[in-house]
Amino acid sequence: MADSIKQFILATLQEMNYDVEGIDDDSQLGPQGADVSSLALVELAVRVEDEFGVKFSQDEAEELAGKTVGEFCLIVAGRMDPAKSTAE
Amino acid sequence: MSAPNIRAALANDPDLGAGNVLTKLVEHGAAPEGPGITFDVDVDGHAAWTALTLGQLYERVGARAAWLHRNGIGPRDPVAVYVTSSADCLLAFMALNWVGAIPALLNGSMPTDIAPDYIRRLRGVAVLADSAHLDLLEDEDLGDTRLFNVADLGGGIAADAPAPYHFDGGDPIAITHSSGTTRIPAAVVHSHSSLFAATRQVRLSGARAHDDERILSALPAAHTAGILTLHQALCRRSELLFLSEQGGPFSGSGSTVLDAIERWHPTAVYGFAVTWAELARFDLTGRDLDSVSVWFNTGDCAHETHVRPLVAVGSHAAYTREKGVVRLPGSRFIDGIGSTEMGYSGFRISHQPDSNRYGRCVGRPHIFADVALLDLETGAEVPAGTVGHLGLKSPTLALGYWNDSVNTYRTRRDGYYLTGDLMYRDEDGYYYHVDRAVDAVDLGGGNWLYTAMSEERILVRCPDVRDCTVVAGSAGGTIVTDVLLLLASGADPDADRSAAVCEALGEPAAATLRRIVAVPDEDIVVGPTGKVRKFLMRQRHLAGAAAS
Repeated sequence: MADSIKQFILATLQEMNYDVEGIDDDSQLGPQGADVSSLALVELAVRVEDEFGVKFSQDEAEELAGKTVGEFCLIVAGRMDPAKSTAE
Repeated sequence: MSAPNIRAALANDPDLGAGNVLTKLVEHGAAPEGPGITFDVDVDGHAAWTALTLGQLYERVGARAAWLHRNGIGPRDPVAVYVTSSADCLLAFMALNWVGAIPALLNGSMPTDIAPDYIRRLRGVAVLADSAHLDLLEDEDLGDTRLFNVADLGGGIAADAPAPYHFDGGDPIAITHSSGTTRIPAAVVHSHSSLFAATRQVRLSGARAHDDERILSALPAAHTAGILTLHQALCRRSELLFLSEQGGPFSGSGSTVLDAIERWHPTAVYGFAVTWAELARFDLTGRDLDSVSVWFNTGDCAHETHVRPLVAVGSHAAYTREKGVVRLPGSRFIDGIGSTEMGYSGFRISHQPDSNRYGRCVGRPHIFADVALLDLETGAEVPAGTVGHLGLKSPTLALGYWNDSVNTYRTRRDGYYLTGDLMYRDEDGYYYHVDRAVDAVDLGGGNWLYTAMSEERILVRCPDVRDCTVVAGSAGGTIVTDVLLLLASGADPDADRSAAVCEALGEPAAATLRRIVAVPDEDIVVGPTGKVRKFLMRQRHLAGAAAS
């Protein structure tokens, strides 16, 4: 499951015109890595919400800057409906 | 180098701290034509309200560093700075750090019967003062401390500046003072690492924000919050307009701040609680405040009735499923609670037009803050819902009180710094400030009167009251409470508000209510930062109670 979440996150960032070359599980979403702006983090969170049926507050979305891609994937997986997650 | 890359370079530089932000920016290749600071006064012939670029700022600070070096000021020299303009204050601060000295910043409004004693206690080598403050000090016995006119510093030659001093993380880089609710303000010493810890962990690690591209500061430059704002604006490569004197004498400061917003169009406005209280004098809907996305409060937490009119105006960028990124009406108000000693707000909460978590809620602790609400008799943490004393462990904490080990260690317990604040937390992990411990009154039987929380509740229940102060204490063995109201324009001074006030106080405290009175602004005694001096207010009112 984590792989499909990661693929979606990277594809979305690319669609949003971020350079994802060299971005992996250990890369931060914030200035130490992908350098995604606070508004773009909100957009990323909304797109992830729509894709995986999870929810983030605006503050939570902005705090994603301190998370790595791998950590974000784990958060998303942790919030997904367990039944849906298992089925996939 | 681009701004994002600069932020990453700064974040990865372990030698970067509060004592060398400007010189490190240049060392890391920040664009010299990028933002420096805009001041509301002329700087060495550079016109007020015209931005100094980073390169110009570096050159003007370098000139001052050269002057200080030539005049024998060097590493570990405590030097008082007693000036009015934010330009004189911040340029001197950075220049003193450049040569390794320890700037001791005084609020220019520190009363003249207090400032000389405060300066003597610093045991510094020099005072940098503007002409007005030099006049105030010229007849004072300051021992061997030399007096310099701060205006002379700009005459230095930047090329003659020594190499910027190399600080260790624990080195002292600034002394700032508390708001001085009793007589002499406490001198608090900050280190190279402590006064930069929050900027490093929150501002350099956080996402690039669109709403702090242009910051208008109505904070006092000479205080911890002023230095923090300077550093985070420089590190995030934001534009910064730093008003002097928090916008001037408080009763006119709201107008000054509003005019500055309309003239400079900031995306963010930074201030202490007094600024929001003063803006409450105005109908904000008639002003051009659309540029403002965020209002940032620090120091004491703000009142709900002052916050709601602010978040109702301004505008912010948002992402919507239907239209992508759009600009929407309304703004955010970032609140928390901090102090000189805490070195940064320990908590954070974001209020928006549709949010409702008020009641002096200061949010949740910042990522770097280890907080505990303590029962000081047992040393144990109190459970959720119970009021305790705030203890804080944080890399932002000041080193202690300058030349005052007694109070440095008196305020520590089990590794925590005791802030002097009373708070409780709810089951969801949100914290609420009820009062300063010295202002709370024990009513007996387990009941307490919390003056700050009472003020919040009175303001919510009395919409025609702009601000209020609750003064309570023991007079002749009896607890008495006076409620002093500052009315909104047009409010009826003779209206009977006793039912609303009694409800706000709650039954045990309402029984101590002596009087509710509408007072003019000048009856409220405030310190140099606009904070009400309740210690003096109690003295005055309890003396009045004894006399009556």
